[in-house]
Order: sequence, then structure tokens, then C-alpha cells
Amino acid sequence: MALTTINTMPPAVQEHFDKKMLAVHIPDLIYGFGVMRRDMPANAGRYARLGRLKNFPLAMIPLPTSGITPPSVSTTRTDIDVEIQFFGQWSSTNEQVVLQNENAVLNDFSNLHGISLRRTEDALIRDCIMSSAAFIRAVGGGNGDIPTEVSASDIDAVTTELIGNDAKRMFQLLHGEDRFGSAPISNAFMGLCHSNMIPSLNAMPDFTERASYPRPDMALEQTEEGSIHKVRVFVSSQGAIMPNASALGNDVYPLTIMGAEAVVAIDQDSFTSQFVYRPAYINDPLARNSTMAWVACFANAISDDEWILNLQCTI
Amino acid sequence: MSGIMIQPVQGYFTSDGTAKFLEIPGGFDWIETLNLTVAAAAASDDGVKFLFDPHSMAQGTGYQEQSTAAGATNALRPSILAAGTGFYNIDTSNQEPGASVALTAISADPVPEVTAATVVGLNNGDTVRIYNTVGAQQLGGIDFTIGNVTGGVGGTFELSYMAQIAAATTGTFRKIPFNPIYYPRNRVITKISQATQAVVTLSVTHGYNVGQKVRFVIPEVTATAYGMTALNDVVATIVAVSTVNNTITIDVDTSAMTAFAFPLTADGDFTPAQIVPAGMNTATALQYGVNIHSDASRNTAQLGVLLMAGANSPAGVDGDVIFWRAGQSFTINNQ
Repeated sequence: MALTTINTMPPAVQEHFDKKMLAVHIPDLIYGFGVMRRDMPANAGRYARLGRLKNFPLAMIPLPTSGITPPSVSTTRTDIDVEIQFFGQWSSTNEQVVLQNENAVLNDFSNLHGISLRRTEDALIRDCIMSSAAFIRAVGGGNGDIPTEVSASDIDAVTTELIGNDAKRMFQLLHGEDRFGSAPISNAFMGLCHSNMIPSLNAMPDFTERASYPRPDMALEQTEEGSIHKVRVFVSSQGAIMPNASALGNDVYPLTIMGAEAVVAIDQDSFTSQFVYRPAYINDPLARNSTMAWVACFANAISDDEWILNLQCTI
Repeated sequence: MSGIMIQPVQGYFTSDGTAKFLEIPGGFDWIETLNLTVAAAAASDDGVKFLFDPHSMAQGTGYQEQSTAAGATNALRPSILAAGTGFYNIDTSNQEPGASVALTAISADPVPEVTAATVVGLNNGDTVRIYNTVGAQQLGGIDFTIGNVTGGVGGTFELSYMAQIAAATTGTFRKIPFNPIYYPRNRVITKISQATQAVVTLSVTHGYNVGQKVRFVIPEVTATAYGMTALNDVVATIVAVSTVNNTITIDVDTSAMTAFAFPLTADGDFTPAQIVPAGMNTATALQYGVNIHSDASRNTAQLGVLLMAGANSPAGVDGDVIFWRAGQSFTINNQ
């Protein structure tokens, strides 16, 4: 009996390429989430300047009955300067790729450029914080390294310092509700760290996972891991790592804890993030190669160094 | 590459006898240098022309054409540069530390001297991170600018701005390739004088300017360390800087404060004393004629190339005039 099989008659085309591409790995972007946004007007130079006045002293002494006027008071201003800088990235694609590849190459590339833009923005804010902000080493853990793994006492040390410096918390109280296993969440500062910290966070007895919030739907973003005392913690695979920075040479994971208005990101008016596509017939004498790009202005600074601390931890 | 070709870039400089960094913001696929001084001089064995392709050549190497010695054929003689004498493709946003290197001693000298398994690849002004020490545990995880790098295998270097400590026997260090990319930077304090205008020494080259404000973080580690806790949380204005001693002078009188004392090896886990950039005192900057924006927060990362110095290296020797040209080009795989 003669039987026709794929051995004698293989498919002329051996495969089907699914044009819907698989998900690109996109880190959660946490560092730009809590920054203060300010605008830099166009035609106003290269630097944005923010100023903060020093408080007047208290007036604790009663005014004299003699009618004599007490001395006047004065103040000083601290200026925070930020240089506006431009960033960008581009790719060039030959017409054959667009013509012959099965997927929507240009659509997919534009998506990649968008991801690159936002990842860059977040990483720059992260690196600004890592470069300039004060740090404190965790000492409350027990792993024998310096710093140790994170502990509740370390968190408390940081929040005590921030509150002592009059930092304002960024999240309101989440009232307790009559739900098993839940607990009220304090009004809190924002905590930002690498996702490798998750086991250390969950190991703290007082750590409340987001699932145990009075209303878990009140957790912010999918990046919110949970809360510990006065800090709500957000994690990302793009969180900060300081390689080999512990006393034993292990990687250090800074847990950035900050209040409102601790970090500023400046947007340049008349130059928002731009996507630039130059089709091949404009870009190339032979109309073969197109280009795609993003350009943007990013400018970041610590706007109040007393309202942000990096808690250095190992894991 | 597209129909828009990125134009080559070029320039020239006069060598000061040290390695030269050239910023090339667009990156490069090739670079060549021409030592005009050697080319114009009587024939010698010195290098005239150098070439580097970061895609096919190892970091620190390159191609060289040497002038031939007087009385010889007067032709250019080609050779491949030895590792460490040529070109390095540089991206200063790279924060990955170098390989771990064992150290065998840290001295108790006024400027602590480190004896290492090797100091090859280290230069004066580099930054190292020390950890896992036996003795001198208070240095663990802290970065230091180094100087007086001497020798190769078994060589030494100094922790240029560190206070005197008790000696250590073993440990490890890694070279930290570049500064954190944003300026101004948090810095660890190693010394503070007791003076009407205190002089503060920092462990790593600071880059601060007169007029900048800094906030002090001086933890209480023990009864004696860090000692000068009265300075904790004080915001001071910088009135002078020394790039030689890596110090800042501040407008705070510390003469009546307890002496600053760096912790000892037995002092356990502690947070290092540090200064934190806190903005600009514009009045002081104007008074001293300093750029009032010199404190500005900015990204300092650069792309470029480092040219090593020497008679047979692309940066030449002191006084040599070096022309350079770099560019981008298509890469075609011929394998």
C-alpha cells in the first residue's frame, strides 16, 4: 500500500512564525514614581535653579512693655542647580528587514525605543540618588557582613532620621478593616530597592505584604511589595546594586527611603520626549535605510538631601 | 549606519607625558593617532602612527608604526602594542568593579601603604575598594583614591587621603573604574581638623568647588569615634578646596569640638562619616568669583578613548604634538 507521509511530501514551508511577538522584558520603573516634577521654560538657559529659604528663628521672648523694638531677623537661601541635559538613542534598519521579516519590525522597534526611553529616565534618577544622597549602613541583621541584611530597626533608624529632619511622608494611612490577616498601614515614606531584596524584606517579622493590606487593591502599582513600619517598599529588577561594596566584598543593595520633594526631575518646556522616525525615502539616497530614534531632556537632582537616605543592605 | 553618515571627528593635543582621555560622544569604530613631533624629528625607534579598532583588538593594545633608527632603512616599522600601552575604549557609566586582587599588608604609616599581590593596571589617582581585611576592618567597603603606585607584582600603593591606622595583614581590593555618574557626589570623610575654619579630608577625589554647601553626617560609633559628633547634621559652606590634599575648608569653627577620630578595626559595624552635597551658597560663590552653577547636578558619564603615554604609545611623551582622528564605519563580517 502506498502511503503519502510528510517524509515523502514534507510541507513546502516548514514553519509558521507567529507575528505577535512574545513579551519584551520590561523592568518595573520605580525611581521616577515619587519624584517632584518641575518645568524648565524654553529659552531660559542651561540650568534650572530651585531655592530653599532657611527658617526664621522662633520668637520665644515676650515683646517688652517698654515699647522697644527687638532686633530684626534675616534668613539665607540655598540654591539647588540642575543642568538640563539631552539624551537619545537611534537605530537604523535596512529595507530588506522590513520587507522580508515576518513580524512588524518597525512597530516592534518603536516599542523598544519607547521602553529604552523610560528605562533610561528611571535609571538616571536612580543613579542620581546613588551618587549624591547620604547613606546609612544596616546593622540590625545577623548575616555577619557590614552592612547586614535589612531589619526593622534599621528601617526605624532611617525614618526617625527623616522625621527628625521634617520630611513629609508620601502615602496616607490605610485604615484597618475587618479582614483576616490584614493590618492597618501607617502613613509612610517611599522605599525603593532591587527585587533581589524581596526575601530579606519578607523575612522581617513586621513586614506586611501587599496582599495583607486592609484593601490590597490600594497597593500602588504592581511593584509595591509591601510595607514595614513607616515605609512602603517598591521593588524592581532595575533597582540599585553596588557591586562588592560590603566589608566582606558582597553586593550591597541600597534601599532608598525618601519623603516628598526629596528628588526633583526637570522637564524642558517645548522639548518633551520625542520619537523621531525618518523613512528611507527621506533618509537615504537609495531609499533603503530608515532610522528611528528617541531624544529627550532629563535633569535630576536631590532637592532636599535631608529628606532622603539610602539604607545600604546586603542580602 | 544609514544614509546619514556619522562624520569622523579629529583633533590634536600636546602631550603632558601622562595618559590622555579623549571624549568621543558618538563612540568610534576606529581611531588613529599621528605623533607629529616624532614624525618631524630625526629617525628613532619612537612610535609615529597608531591605530586601534575596538571590535577586533584587545583593550589596551593597538597597532604601531615606529620610525626606524638613524642609519637604518628609514622605513616605518609596524608592530602590535603590548597590553596596557595602547588604547582603551572607555564608557564611564560602567560601574562594575575590576577583578579582586589580594593585598598582603596595610601599613601603619601616616599615609597607609598597601602591599598587593599585583598593582599592574593601577595608576596614581585611581580608586580602589577595600574589603575582607584581617585588621583594618574599618576600611571594609570604603573607596579610596590611591597614589604613589610602585612596582608590579608585589607592588605597593598608598591610600593617599586616609588617616593613620593600625596595620592589617591580609585583605582584598578591587579597582573602581569610574566615579558614580552624577555630580556632585557623596564622599566619605577620613579627617577633620580642629580649626576656626575646619579642613576636611575625603577618601576619594571630591570635585567640590568653593561656595558649595555640604551637610555633615558624623555618627557616634564609640566613645571616641568619630568624636566630632557636634558637626553631625551641620550644613557648611566650602570656602577653599585643595586638589593636592583632596580637602575642603569650611566656614565652621571646630576648634572647640572633640577631635575627629576614624574608627578602629575592632569598632564593628558602623556607617562611615560622610559629607552630602546640599546645594550652593550663591553669595559665597560670587564673593570668591566662582561659577554659581558649579554645584549643578549633572550626568558626567562619557564615551571616549584613553591613550596611554610613552615613546611607543599613542599619547607620546611630554611635549609631543599628537594629531588624532576617529570615526564610525560599517562592519562587514568576512569570517
